Amino acid sequence: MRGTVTFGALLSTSGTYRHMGRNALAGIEHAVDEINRSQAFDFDLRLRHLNPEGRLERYAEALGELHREGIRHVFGPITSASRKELIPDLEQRGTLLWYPCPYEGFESSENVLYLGGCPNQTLIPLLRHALQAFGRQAYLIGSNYVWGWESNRIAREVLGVAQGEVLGEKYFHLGAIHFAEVVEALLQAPPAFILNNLVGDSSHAFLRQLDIACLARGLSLPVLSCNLTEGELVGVGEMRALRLLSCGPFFEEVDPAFSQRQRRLHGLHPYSHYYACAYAAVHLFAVACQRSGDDTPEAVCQALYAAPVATILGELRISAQNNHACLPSYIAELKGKRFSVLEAETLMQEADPYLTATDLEPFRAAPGTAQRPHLRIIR
Amino acid sequence: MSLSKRPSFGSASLLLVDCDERSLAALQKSLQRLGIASQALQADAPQALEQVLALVVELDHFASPRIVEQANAAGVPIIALTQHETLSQIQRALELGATAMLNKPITQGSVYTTLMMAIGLRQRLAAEQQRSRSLAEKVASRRLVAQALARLMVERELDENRAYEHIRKLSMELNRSLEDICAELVGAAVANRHEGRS
Repeated sequence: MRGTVTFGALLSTSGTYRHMGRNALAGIEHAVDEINRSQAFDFDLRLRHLNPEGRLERYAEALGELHREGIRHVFGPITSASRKELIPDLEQRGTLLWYPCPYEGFESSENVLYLGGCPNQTLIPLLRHALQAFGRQAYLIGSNYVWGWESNRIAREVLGVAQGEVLGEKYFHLGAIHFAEVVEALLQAPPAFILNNLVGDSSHAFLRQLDIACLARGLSLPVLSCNLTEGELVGVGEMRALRLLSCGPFFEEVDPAFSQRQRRLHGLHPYSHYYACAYAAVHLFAVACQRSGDDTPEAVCQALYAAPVATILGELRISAQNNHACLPSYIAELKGKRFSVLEAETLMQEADPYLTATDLEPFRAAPGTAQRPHLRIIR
Repeated sequence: MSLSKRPSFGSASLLLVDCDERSLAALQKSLQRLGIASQALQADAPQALEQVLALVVELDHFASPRIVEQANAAGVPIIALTQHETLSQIQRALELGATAMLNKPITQGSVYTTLMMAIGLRQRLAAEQQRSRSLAEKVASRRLVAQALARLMVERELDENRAYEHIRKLSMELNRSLEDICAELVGAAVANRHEGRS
């Protein structure tokens, strides 16, 4: 008889960033369903999901509930603010967090597996593309917490090296939806591109309001976001003036066969990188449990450090040095209702969470000629 | 206020001075996670500081006054490591020139922030010291400027503003500091006097 391995998920499927939470949860649920049907594993996975509703104080409470049930593997959350709320308790209890989202770096807890990419795998390639394609004057906007602050700081540093200019920088509380003032400022002095680190409803509202204003003025502004995926399009709606660019380790177009197969198995759903990273994380977890014959966090981590695992994102390797995944890197632009890949680096990129091995010197180039040492144009 | 820049970590490393075995193990593990190289040094062994990002000096086993002196002279940041939170240890750290302290037990989250504070404050200190030196030179040269002005006013019958303008113009034309020009004018006057006497 197959045994059962129970694990937890702390994902907000309601609240201001619910689309991301729902996407990641779907990835987890679909992976569990497929693994439990597979003969390759001698155990069943059982998911215990709690919904903290996007409220920061609920995360530690919910983790406590999972701990009381004896759970030592937790998947999620979405925001860095909530992840940082959990880390002291994870470290105290020896629990392992499987974090499937892009984040701003500058962290390396032994109790977290970072699976969604950090700035050298996401933001920096995207900025390189934007500096080359659009120019060197940028406007930075973000939600008022560590994701926005640090991502925009990195952008400031990159722009500084590239002899670019930051025309403005604004922060808004999570859930803010009124952007008239900043939209007007952007119309008065349009930058070459905007880096949008707003999250959830705020990001959707900003993009809609800016799109309407740009359409009325005949402007077409590029907006970059590392957290904009297929899963957000329902909130963003149709863009008629803005050019939306994103980056991440997966877009539907990267592997259309996978998206088609998932639709057939699980129905219509946005198969974003939040989905794909969470889906891959469950496969990593199951393979590691199977390999080690042990589901303790220590044994699972050792099994992952020892050898890569084939996943939808590619052969994923977890660095024993910093607990981050090596990931592919794609830059995509929204065309209609789909993301079209502009540049791809399918070779796995090592994570450099503290940017201690990342050379920004290639940005110090003649105007409009920032070099591209890593990514290649595929169309 | 300008913010300190992120240092280049490429070929530089952290020098771990007089650290005991457990501290070394904890620091090396943490620095490896940060992607920063390190090397250990005990009892003032000879060491070049060109490629050293900063020193971590364990106060409880400290036996390397020479390397600390060299680091201070070269403006290399110093972090004091201790297991005590006492004021005596803090004062000792300051006396050694430390710009940050790391308390044991060493946690992953504290190493990067401590290192960057040490580097940032050392940069700021170096900038202030440079500014202070430059101001001191200016103050010291005030007497010289006054003498040069007086000489021009007497010899060429200029008022103070025109005399000053004359010196400033020379400074710009010759691309030399105002103080240099004044020193030369006063030096020439002294030489002339000496020649007149002989």
